[in-house]
Amino acid sequence: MRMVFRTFTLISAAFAASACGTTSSAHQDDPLYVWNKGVFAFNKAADKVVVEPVARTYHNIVPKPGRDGVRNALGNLRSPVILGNDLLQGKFGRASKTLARFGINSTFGIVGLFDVAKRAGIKGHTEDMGQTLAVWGISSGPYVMLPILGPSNFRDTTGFILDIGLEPLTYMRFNGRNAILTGRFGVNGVSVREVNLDTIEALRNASIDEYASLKSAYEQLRANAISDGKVNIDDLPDYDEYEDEK
Amino acid sequence: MLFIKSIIVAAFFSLLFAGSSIAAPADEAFVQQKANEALAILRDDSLDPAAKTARFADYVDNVTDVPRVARFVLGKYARGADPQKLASFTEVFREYASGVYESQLGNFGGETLKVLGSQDRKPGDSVVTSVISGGKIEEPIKVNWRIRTRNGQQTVLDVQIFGIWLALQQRNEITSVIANHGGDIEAAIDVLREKVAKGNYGEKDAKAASH
Repeated sequence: MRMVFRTFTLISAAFAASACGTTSSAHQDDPLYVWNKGVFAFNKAADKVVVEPVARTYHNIVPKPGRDGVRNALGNLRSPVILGNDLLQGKFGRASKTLARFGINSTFGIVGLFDVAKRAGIKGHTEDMGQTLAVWGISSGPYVMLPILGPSNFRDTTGFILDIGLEPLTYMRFNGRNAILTGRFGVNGVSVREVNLDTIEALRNASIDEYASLKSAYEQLRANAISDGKVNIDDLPDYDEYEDEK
Repeated sequence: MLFIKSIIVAAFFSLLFAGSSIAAPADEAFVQQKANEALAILRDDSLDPAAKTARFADYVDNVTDVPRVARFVLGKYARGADPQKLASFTEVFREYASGVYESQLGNFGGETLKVLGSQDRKPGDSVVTSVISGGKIEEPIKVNWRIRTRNGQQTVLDVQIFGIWLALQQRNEITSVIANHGGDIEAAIDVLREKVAKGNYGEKDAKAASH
């Protein structure tokens, strides 16, 4: 717990220093607005020039079963992190499903290339330390746009770093480990971008304000993930909040 | 004595929390009926695209309280707004919202919607949970409906699909546009007019992209 707070404090201090004086009075719910807008513009340019073209090429040259296999295998490799977070949140039923999926897919699913467990009725889910910290009652902190990694907040950024501690490869020592970790990070990025090609295009087309749209979608999707898809009715906004007439 | 005390305490707490979790069967029936109507319009192949859009716009007008949702998406800028600008915003928002809802639901038609349950947030304010399945959908899609009831009349205030409440999403974007223009609602009216003129509300196959 001490390490959690130390990491959270370090991240807060780093952003406070780098974004000093960037608060815009028009965006009080987004204290790092100026920093975030700058990084958003950078990420968008990087996406246009590098990430999206690579994802489209990957989409065009690798058939769907191959792409599904890569995504399944990457998801399977993520199982220890998901399992750790299931347990840290006290969700033992979900933990047993994660463990069962990992066992079934690693063996019958040929190192996770095929999601045999899903066909057997054991559906997958995601968990990460950002969600665990939320379940523990830690507030999200300000929204922050990270270079290349995209939308986040202080809590999720802290969680992202702490998840490295739940990753078995972190503790293994062998030649080429760093190359494997870097390669996996890159392939995962391309795979995620590829599966979201249409969704991101739709979001861009539908949006009135692309930056605000991404921020809102990120915050809503994270809230949805934290509650495991359940609606917390008390968190919903009041429709009469800004009424004039009675 | 302790046993009786425990029962009284339990009864007190069950009354205290009853209002926040009881179901709203009338709202569940409303969602089932209105969703069936929407799916019927979307699967009606006798209508050309323009006629379908017009029909869907009428439908949205009928099931949602557009002026109220328009005020909601304006957030704090709705309070004390110039009535003329508010009317202009509501008019263009009506077209925009209809386009967004048609775009989001445009690929549905051969599917069926089943209501799973509901939660009462407070009197006249509930959330109905449903699932769309069948047709071209590989995995059932959960859709939540925020229902408001006043004077016995039910209306849809917001719809959550793929984890995103659409009106809430619109509010975050529209208030950002207004904030970037010194609090002038006119900026949001211009942006929405441009959006409606282009008729671009996002890809209709967004759900396919989710797989």
